[in-house]
Amino acid sequence: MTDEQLAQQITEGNREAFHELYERHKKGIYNFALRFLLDKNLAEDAAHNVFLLVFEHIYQFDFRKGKFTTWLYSITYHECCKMRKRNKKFSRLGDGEEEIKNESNYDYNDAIDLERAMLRLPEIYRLPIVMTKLHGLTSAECASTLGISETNVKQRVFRAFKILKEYYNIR
Amino acid sequence: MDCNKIEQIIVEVLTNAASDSDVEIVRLHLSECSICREQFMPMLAMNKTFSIIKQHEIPAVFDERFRQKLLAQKITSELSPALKFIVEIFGTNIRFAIISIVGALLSVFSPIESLINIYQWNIIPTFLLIISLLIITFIIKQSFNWNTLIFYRRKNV
Repeated sequence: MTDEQLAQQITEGNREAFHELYERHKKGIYNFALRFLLDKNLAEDAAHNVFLLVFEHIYQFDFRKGKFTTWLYSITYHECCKMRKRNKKFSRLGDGEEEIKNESNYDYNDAIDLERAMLRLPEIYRLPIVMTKLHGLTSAECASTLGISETNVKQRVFRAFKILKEYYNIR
Repeated sequence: MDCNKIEQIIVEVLTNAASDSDVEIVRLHLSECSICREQFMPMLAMNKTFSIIKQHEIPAVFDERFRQKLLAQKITSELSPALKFIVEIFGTNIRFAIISIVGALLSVFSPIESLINIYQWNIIPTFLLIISLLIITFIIKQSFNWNTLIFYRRKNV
């Protein structure tokens, strides 16, 4: 069953459909929030809020206008922006970067190095690359989520690759 | 093919928007042009590596915490407007809200009442005092995020 069909079922009052959607996307949303906010606690809070918002506003989702994933990532992006703004005063975001880097769930060095380098990218380049390369969004979906043009997304991804290449050259 | 055009196709390749024929054009051009090979081969290698980056595991208590938040939201949505206002002020921690209500009632009916008797206070200023305290609490809650403040303190210990 597709995400859009599940969303339709939630609006008809099927709670199992919400559970199915939650199970399907929780890891992706948590990971996106983590790579955006670079803090595990904030990422968890943001992911929770996203699903609460989805549950509350699912009737606003119009499957004729776009994919459910685009809508979901759009909510996640805005929730993460809100979370970052709210916590700016108290925490230095980026402290969690080390925490993320030190997780040894890889058995391949290149992947570790690449993720470390990616986390160092400025946010405007990091987000398009995370969305398109790690979460499988198309450049059009990414553009819609970030509220920028598709050309701009492609330029940012290309620029991100250039920065990553420079990082490898320096190293 | 012109190297500038190859760069445009490379952008398409890196954003997963290139067709098979585009990929073939890039492959052929890179086998012939050393400048482009030096410039773009590392990028294409990185592009492949992205596919093996794993997702981070969600915390073990993630589902349980979400279940609690969902329950709290459900309770809040079912409250009467007056209680919802109180929960808005004190957060979704119901226990804290109940303690606060009891505390407020006690403060009205016992110690403040005696203060009124001692200092000959009028009931209206006292009521206004309590309301202003509630408003101050609300403003503080809106300005601070207690959870983050706690995390921040923990980090700095």
